[in-house]
Amino acid sequence: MNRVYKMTGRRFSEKCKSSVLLIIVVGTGILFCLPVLVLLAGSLADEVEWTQRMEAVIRNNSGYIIWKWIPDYPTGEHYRRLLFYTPQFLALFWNSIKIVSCILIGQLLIAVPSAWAFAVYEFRGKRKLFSLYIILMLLPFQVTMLSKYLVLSDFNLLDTHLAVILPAVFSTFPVFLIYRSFADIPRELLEAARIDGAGEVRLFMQVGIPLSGNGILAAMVLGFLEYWNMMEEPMAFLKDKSLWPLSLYLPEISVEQAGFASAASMLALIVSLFIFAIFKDTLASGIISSGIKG
Amino acid sequence: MKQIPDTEMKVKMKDKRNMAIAGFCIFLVFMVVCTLISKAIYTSGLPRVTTSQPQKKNLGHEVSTKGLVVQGQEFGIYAKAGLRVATITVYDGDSFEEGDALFRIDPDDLKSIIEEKELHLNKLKNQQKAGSYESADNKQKQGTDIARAKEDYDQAIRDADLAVNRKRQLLSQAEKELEEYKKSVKNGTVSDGDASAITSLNQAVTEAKQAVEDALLAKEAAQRLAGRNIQDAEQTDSNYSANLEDNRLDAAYLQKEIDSLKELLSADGWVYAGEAGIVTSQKLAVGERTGDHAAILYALDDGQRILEATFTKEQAEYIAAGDKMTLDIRLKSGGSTKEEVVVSYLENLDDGGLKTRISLEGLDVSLGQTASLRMVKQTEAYATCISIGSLLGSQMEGYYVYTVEEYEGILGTEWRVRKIPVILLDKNASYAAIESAGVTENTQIIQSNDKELQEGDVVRVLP
Repeated sequence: MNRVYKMTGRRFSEKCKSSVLLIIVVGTGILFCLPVLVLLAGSLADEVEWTQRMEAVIRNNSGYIIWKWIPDYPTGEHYRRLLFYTPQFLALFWNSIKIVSCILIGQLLIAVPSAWAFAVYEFRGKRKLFSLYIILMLLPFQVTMLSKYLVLSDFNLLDTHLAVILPAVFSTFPVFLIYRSFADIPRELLEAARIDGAGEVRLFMQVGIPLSGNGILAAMVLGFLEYWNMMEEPMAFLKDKSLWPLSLYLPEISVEQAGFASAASMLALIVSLFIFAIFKDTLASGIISSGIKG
Repeated sequence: MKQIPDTEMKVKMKDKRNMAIAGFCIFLVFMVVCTLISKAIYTSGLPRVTTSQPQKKNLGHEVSTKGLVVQGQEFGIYAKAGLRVATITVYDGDSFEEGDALFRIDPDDLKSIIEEKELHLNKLKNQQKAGSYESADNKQKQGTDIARAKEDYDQAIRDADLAVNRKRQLLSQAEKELEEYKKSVKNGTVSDGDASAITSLNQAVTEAKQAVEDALLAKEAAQRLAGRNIQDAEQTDSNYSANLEDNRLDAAYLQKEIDSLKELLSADGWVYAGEAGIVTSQKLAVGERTGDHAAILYALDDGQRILEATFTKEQAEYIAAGDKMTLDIRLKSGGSTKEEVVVSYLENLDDGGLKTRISLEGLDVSLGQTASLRMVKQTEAYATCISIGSLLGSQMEGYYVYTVEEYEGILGTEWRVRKIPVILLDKNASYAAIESAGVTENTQIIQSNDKELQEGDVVRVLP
């Protein structure tokens, strides 16, 4: 009987613990999602309701913002205006798609072989070079901005998309992430493949990339999220507004058009949500594999 | 590395992934469609404009007007003033031949006027007769008055001479006494110490001299007075003669008037045309009396013709005496002709316009027909000329033009409207010459637009 009581009590306490954990996790999740929920609610409110709610901010009066999660007068006017009457937004949307796609394709071509070289081969100065890569990865944009500007100016690449794409293609961050994935591949497997007659290129293409697919995809996803929201490089290197990405359009919208800005933000967010939805499992396993030492 | 079990869960996850990929693709397709639709809506809402650049050119001002052929010479038919009109047979524009009846004076009224004038004439004649009798009596009386005045004059002279002589005698006596006294004193007959005697003698001489002068003055006064009396007597005669002469002249004039009125009455009051012509202005009214002016104005059938034309105030700026214009006119024979004529006469009108008269000598045209005059005057070359459709605004509010300038926007190179104020120098029907610091030879000026424009609007420039 005591044993039964002990087992029931343990299950109850475990259930309580898991319930509390669930509440904490869900609550934290909701807290993290609050900004997105505010955007969603705001994108469905009309300008009059926005003005009433944000009066304390817009008119610099004292007081608090009055917020409602469900608008009193919901409207799809902002989305309609954004999708059908604002070709500027869509032009910048496709600019962002183009820039990010080019960057990711370039990184696949440059960063993946670089990471393979660091992970598989031993050569003179490898450690120092890899350390340099890490230092470059840690440097903020403001430090390297001037040198990049001068180089791009010399190559007459300023005010073109290549001014943003090329520096990102040669970024060291994806090298670092993918290196860890390649480093996890057992040496013995590679040796066995060499013994079987596989060349280095075949080794890379048919052994390395498939085994480190998750790591590569994780780097690509993280790269996508970073470059989709990129602001500093376009602002510094692109003067022509027709070349701007979507991340620079949103600040152009004034406070008086807060509802419109919310709708634009939601649409910009949708792409990231899709990417996450497609690659979330790969992202999780890729980050994990990058973090665990082989 | 954590291994995902190859179970139903894995299959479900794969399905979810495929759905997410499909959803993403649909989203991208949807965004493509929205891009096309939004671009189409945006561009369809853009005003479409055509542009042109300013040119350097001379402006031609076409001046054209229509005129009327009028008579070059005009003649008048007169009637005595004050006669009542009974009938009018001709009006403006009517033609008449020599001997045609033009208008009729009321015979009864004419008769009464003649009678009235004859009565007045008779009175004048009677006055003349009476005046001549009175004149003879007056003449006789006047002769008597003149004779008497002359007698008075002679008598006055004699009396004055007598008085003067007497005074002179007294003077000579006083001088003689004084002389004798002085001799006596010299001779010693009289003592030297009697001063009062010599003083009184001197005083007597002085008084005698004074008396002589007074007598002479009196003589002159009497002579003058008597002379005036003679003149007065003679004057009466000339004034009276002038009045008689006036009466005679009045009577003679009145007689002439009566004769002409009787002549008119003999024609039963009708006034006939002395030659053929066309009535240009008839100034009579039935029942009213004739005035001092001509009753009818007319021009000869084959007389001199003149084209009268007017120019508006705006046209007057470009017309000057001596300018050559092209005259387009139909001839009586049926055809039309174009002649170059010189504007030699210009008259200012009250509204600021001009009136001209051009001789049509040598051209067989009819009175009252129209003709056109045309001229194109070229101005000096203006550096900045635009089409007239590009010029907007008004003189009161100021003129301006809309230009387009390139700007780089999110949708690439676009054209934006700018409003530039300008100063209008000159214009004609097609072009306007302007002056503005904001307009250069490369400026694209909007010539036409299909929607209303405002500064800052984005437009689509058509080639």
